[in-house]
Amino acid sequence: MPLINPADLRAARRALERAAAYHLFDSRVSLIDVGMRIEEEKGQVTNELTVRVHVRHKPRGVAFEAFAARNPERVIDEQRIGFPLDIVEADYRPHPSLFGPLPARAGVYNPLRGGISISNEWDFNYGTLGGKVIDRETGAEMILSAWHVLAGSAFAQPGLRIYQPGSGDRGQRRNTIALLSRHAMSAGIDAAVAEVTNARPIINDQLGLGPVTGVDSPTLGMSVAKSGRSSEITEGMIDGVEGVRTIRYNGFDRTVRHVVHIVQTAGGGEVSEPGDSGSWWLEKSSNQAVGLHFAGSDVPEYGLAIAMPQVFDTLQVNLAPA
Amino acid sequence: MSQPDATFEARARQAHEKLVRQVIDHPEVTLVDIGYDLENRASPKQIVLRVHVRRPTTKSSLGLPDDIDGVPVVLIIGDYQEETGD
Repeated sequence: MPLINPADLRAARRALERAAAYHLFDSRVSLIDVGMRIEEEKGQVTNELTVRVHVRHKPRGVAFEAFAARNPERVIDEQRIGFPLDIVEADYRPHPSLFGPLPARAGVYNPLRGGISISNEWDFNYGTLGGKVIDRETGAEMILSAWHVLAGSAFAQPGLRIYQPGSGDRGQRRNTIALLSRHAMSAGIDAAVAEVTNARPIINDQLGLGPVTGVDSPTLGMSVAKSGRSSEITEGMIDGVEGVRTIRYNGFDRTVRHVVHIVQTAGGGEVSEPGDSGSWWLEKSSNQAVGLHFAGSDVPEYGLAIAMPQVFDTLQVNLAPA
Repeated sequence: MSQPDATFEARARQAHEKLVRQVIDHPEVTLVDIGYDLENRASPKQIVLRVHVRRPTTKSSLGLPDDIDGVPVVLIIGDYQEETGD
């Protein structure tokens, strides 16, 4: 650990107060602290003491210029703060107790099926095992979920272990059920597949919804349901298609296409919760898969998915027979 | 897309691509899609171009027209996060 000059630390603390006065009440700021600079590309901590302003979204390039032109007072300026600054892109949420009760879907399942907790071995979190698919070339059995659940990093390599339950649900190395095979982020699709090991069998079934009968294109007005690790069975209606959005991947903004927008049904109720990423949206009357859930909004209550035909074709997989 | 008029659908898709090019890099924009106008109670199934933004704003502040090639443009509030839990 590097030694910090006490005078530098005092100066940093004074600058921290200034940064807080200027920016702490900006809604895009999630935290302000004093710490070592974090190298953006590699995520490595350097020896340079900085005031770190953590922001939920960090516009770059042309987007930053547009932001700065419209909101000059919200630009975090090193000269105004009077100390080296590091702008860190990060969002934070309350952390659940490691020793509190876990929901049912956070348990160990045998056989494996859609709607239960998984994660990769690197990330201390949990998402949802989407469902069972078959590699079009090799015929291997695979699980399909969101890229940010199965890989979560541009540095993730094939062979990365997948745990069931996820590590955030106390999953460990002995809970390995699959190995990362490939992903579709290079095509702008937040999806990946992992080949199952022989640890536990996997079946075509969505916990609480039954087997998936096929794959279909999402259309406006379609009634859908999904089985997710956190919100369990939820329903919604597709009210938007052909969505385009940008997400951060490997240090660059990447355009994600084929996004499906899902709203609450007339009866209300949740659409999704954190932990549901990777679950499959099914057309309600047929149980055909139409979307891969990857993001949501709490206020208002919306869900985002990627159109399933594009996911299957990009990853070169087929639905496993029921 | 469920829309009775194929000509309208083709026009909406072209207008959508124009809109994407115009606003997708804006820091307040979270999604651009084709969908129902959620605020239009008189005609809730009217298909429009939708620009989703993190917080309330106006079309003029984003430089958006009221329509593109006759397809209405509306704003929707939606700040989306990946949904892993931890």
